[in-house]
Amino acid sequence: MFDRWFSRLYDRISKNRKIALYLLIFLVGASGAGMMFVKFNSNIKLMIPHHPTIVRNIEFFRSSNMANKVLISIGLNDPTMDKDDLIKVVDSLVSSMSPEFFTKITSGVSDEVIDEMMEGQMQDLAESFSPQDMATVDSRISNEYVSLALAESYRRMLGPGGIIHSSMTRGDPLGLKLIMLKKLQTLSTSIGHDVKVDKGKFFSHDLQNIMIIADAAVAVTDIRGSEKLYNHLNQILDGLPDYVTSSVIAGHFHTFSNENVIKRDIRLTVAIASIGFLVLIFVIIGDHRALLIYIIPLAAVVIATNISYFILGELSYSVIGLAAVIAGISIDYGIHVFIAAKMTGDPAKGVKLVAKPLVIGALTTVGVFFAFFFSQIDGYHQLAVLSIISVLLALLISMLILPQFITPGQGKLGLIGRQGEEPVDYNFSNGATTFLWLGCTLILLYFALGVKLENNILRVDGTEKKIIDSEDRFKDLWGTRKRAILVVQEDDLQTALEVNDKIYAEAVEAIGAPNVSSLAPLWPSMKRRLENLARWNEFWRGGKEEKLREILAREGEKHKFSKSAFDPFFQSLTASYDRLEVAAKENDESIKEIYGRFVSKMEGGGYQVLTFAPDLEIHVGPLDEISQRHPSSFLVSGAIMEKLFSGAFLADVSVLTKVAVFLVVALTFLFMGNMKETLVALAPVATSAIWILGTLTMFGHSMNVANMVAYIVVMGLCVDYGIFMTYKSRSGQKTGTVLAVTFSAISTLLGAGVLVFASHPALFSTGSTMLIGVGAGHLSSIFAVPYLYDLLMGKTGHREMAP
Amino acid sequence: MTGHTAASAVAAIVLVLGALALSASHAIAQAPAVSSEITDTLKRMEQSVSKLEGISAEFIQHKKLAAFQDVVELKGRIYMKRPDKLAWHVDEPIRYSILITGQIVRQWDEETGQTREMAVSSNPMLGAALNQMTAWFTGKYLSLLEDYEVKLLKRSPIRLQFIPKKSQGMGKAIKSVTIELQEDEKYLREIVIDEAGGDNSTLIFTRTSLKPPEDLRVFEVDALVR
Repeated sequence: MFDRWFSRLYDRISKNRKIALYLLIFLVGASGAGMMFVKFNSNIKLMIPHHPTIVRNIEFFRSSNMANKVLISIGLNDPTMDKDDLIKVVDSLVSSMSPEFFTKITSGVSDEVIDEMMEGQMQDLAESFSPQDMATVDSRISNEYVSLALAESYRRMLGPGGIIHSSMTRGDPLGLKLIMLKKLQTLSTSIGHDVKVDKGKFFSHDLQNIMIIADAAVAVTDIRGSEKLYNHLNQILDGLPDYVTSSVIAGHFHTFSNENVIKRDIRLTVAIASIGFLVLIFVIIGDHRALLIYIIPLAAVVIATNISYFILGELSYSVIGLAAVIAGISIDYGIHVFIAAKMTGDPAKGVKLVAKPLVIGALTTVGVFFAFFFSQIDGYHQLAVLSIISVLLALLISMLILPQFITPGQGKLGLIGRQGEEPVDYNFSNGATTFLWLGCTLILLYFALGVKLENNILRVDGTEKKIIDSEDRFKDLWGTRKRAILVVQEDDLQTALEVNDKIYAEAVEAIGAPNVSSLAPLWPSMKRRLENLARWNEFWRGGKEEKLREILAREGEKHKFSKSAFDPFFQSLTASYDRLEVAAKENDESIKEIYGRFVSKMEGGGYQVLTFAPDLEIHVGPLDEISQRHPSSFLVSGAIMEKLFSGAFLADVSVLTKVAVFLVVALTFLFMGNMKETLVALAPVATSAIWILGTLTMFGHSMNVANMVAYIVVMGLCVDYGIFMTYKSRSGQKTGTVLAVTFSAISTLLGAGVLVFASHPALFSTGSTMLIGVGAGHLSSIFAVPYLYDLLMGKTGHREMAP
Repeated sequence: MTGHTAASAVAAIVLVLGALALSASHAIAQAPAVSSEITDTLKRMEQSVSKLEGISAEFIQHKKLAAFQDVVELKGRIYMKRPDKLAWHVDEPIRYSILITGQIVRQWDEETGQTREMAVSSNPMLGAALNQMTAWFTGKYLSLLEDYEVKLLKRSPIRLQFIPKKSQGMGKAIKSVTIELQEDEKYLREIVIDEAGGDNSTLIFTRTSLKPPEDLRVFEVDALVR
């Protein structure tokens, strides 16, 4: 029935072949023009799994500009130069960093905050001291503590630093401001590097390096912008004096470097593939019209892109990239038609003979891509639509248009046949080759059972070594640690700060105060500051002031302090009383720089308050629990995110693979109509899987996401090989199936297998999977499938395939 | 030592050094003209001291602080040996010492009996403070021009007044530092520090020997614990 239907359709088109051709040319031309109107989306959200935590984390990084930070370390390498020389270099460098690329550049903080805190009045203490702090104060109002403190102060006031100690002791004999200073110091840990502020700069411990933190004006996902930023920064760093060295950490460098490596790889592989295709078309096939075969997938992708855009409304850049590779599969249909036309000497007859297995092959391939609809990744849904349309279009063009333009009459097939001779329909399968296939497959199966999954998705980052080395130097030098961030988002600032206060208290209890860097202990919400102020007043006016006056007078006498020695302290204390209001801190210029690191306005309105902690497993667990107790908060953790991201990706690809395997098996069974032939047709699919896993394990590699996605493509190809060869065995027709399968495999290896020459790990993984998988599928289909068919089915003559 | 006083030491140094840093950076930026007589004098003093292999001297320091009932008199010794040793010992009314060897600083006091050792690089604030101290005692006077304006108060014996250049920073704590040289101009005779808050400290060197100490144990902590 299929043959009759197809024959009728083909003949009808033959009668109007020029119209069909013009229509196709028009479609391709219109689609080519339409490409200019297709809007491509570079949003990474399209290519990540639907996991609320991942999506929220990515959104946080995008909106908070954290991913766009550029860290630069400038260090002295000449012992005759000192830190003042270094400061001059850094200041000069900062002034040469173009505002086109950097919106904000910081190389330190002023000592203004510390100065104000140490010299200022008691009001900051009154507003920020928690009940625990007040308990500490209370414990210090004792004869023992004051006596010890004054003895120490006396000694210090007689020493070289006496000038400062004198005013400090007089203004703060209990060292209360130092409780605040300690809290301030924990804020510096929020940046995740070991810095010492000296001369207003972020110095390393040995004072030999200064860190510059810059906000890039270019998004880290902007490839062209990243390239410009990379060039600009390298240009000004190259111009630094010889006595300094530099190292940089910037996500932009990864973007640019990956792009660079991929470009280099593509140049190399395109050169190899181009030479290979030319040899294949003009030497091996020996017919320039074979070029048409290679144009078909391109035409199909261009038309399919327009149709997909019309259906979906948007397309991801990544999807277009992947689809172009996947559509390469559809080249097979043209090859089969071309060779069948050559073998039979009658293109119409040839195409009619191979039409059924081609349709079955294409439908199983469509089944493979249909599996992508089961993905949690929106981009993969787009990929499914685009690939399925591409494959079906390529099939239609190959079967209905291509044969119309192949000259009838048997011709030579380049090196394979001789002029005037009928091309040979090869058969390489026998007991020995099947035994060899089985042996190799069993050996590789042994290795395949030990395959390991690569959990870290970042292992497919292809950033160049010099950039990674520079980052490693930076991290070693600055003791760079990853920070987890507890984010509170609320409509108004005070509500956000109030939640932040609660979160801080819980975090301190869970992981200890030294591990928590938050504004809460220093500048809490107004509500909390008013509470603190009331407690402060009650404390001192409830008799503590009088008690301290008595103790200081008594102990001061012993240590030869004058009667008026502590007047500055009590004057300041009295001034801190009787205030009923507290000032908003967000507009305080002296703390703006530090405050801004923790509090920010959000793009769509509302405020965001951050709390930082070490991104370690022992800490992020309890912090995650805290965030779950507060609905307006969430935890951002690189460690968790990496795991979630890798886990979600692997889980997604794992589901895809399972669905694809199921569909391939089910469709093959449906079309073959019996279990034995289904098993034979699927032998290349199984062989490719075993050989890929076995070879990877044998060479010490683990299976990563790129391998898995590439394998789905391999499955689509190998099931075609299996079906074509099984059909050939069943029908016994001489349509050059072995040649066609071989040319298909060679074409795929030239297109995608050459990626084994790539240095980018993702491309290399794709290339190696294609090489091993397609190689294994091809070898098993021509060396084992025909013999297996005969073995299982017996040579019972030719039968029809299931409709 | 109590926790808060240890921290107060750090804070004190933070303040002083913050001030020094500010004044130094402003000095570089503005570089006001200094009279050639003062520059020549400082250069001569620096050259004179730079020829010395070392110094041993005793000192008496009078501290007039508002916090104390009376003027406190301290007695002690200072030793310097090139290239990198400096010792500051206070013997009365309490005993404490600061010993610097290269980049290592040791502080000892009798009351606690403890010695604290630290690398200058591990505490840039302390390092900078000690750099200032060694600048005064080892005659690196020209470098002080970056931080202070200098007035020549008297020519014989030479008496110079160093005023921190900015009202901010060092100027917040110190009004002026005045030094007077010995008749032969080879070393300091007196240092007077007038603080912004009205406190005042005068250091008078006596029995100055322009030679390094013979007993090098003065630079060691073990010799102190006796």
